[in-house]
Amino acid sequence: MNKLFITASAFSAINDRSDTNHTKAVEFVHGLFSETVKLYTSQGEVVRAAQKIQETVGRNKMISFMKYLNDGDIIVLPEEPDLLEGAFEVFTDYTKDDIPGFYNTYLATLIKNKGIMHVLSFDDELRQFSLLLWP
Amino acid sequence: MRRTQLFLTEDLHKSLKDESQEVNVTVSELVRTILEDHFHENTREKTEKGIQSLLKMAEADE
Repeated sequence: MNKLFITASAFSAINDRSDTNHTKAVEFVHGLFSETVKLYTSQGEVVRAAQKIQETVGRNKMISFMKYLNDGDIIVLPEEPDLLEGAFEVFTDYTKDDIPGFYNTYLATLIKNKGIMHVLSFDDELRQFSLLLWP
Repeated sequence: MRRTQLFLTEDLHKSLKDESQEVNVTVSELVRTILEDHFHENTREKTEKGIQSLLKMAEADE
């Protein structure tokens, strides 16, 4: 694993102690000390996570999340203008029986465009895009 | 592998050449090793800083 993308669901699990995936997420993060891996997320995932943390845990925790995100070396990817078009092409290629949600199609397209295969996330639907989901 | 051209100062070129002879590798191999070590160390530092941030998020007061 040399690149790891972190989605909003993983940030929520890390930040919210009452989240059912909190312990799994934190244990996985501890395990990363044995890896040399670049950590990525996107502007959209940061906004989604911040909103969720604000709603479920509160404003102070959301402020801590943003502060630690800015202090750490987690690369926040911009969402480029042609991403929407690319994601729509991927979405329309799926057959009727196998349609993932458009949001996850968009996210998977962004992740794959950056050559990232490993994802820290609790959005199981992302597996449909041949991404390797952790934990 | 890709071929590239580097412009080095005389001193730096001499140091590279001397060291490559000492460790019995080509100048190209030595430059590759130095660059790989640099990127590995750089990424390692960033990994640790990123992990620390994630753990601080988890530990922050609610």
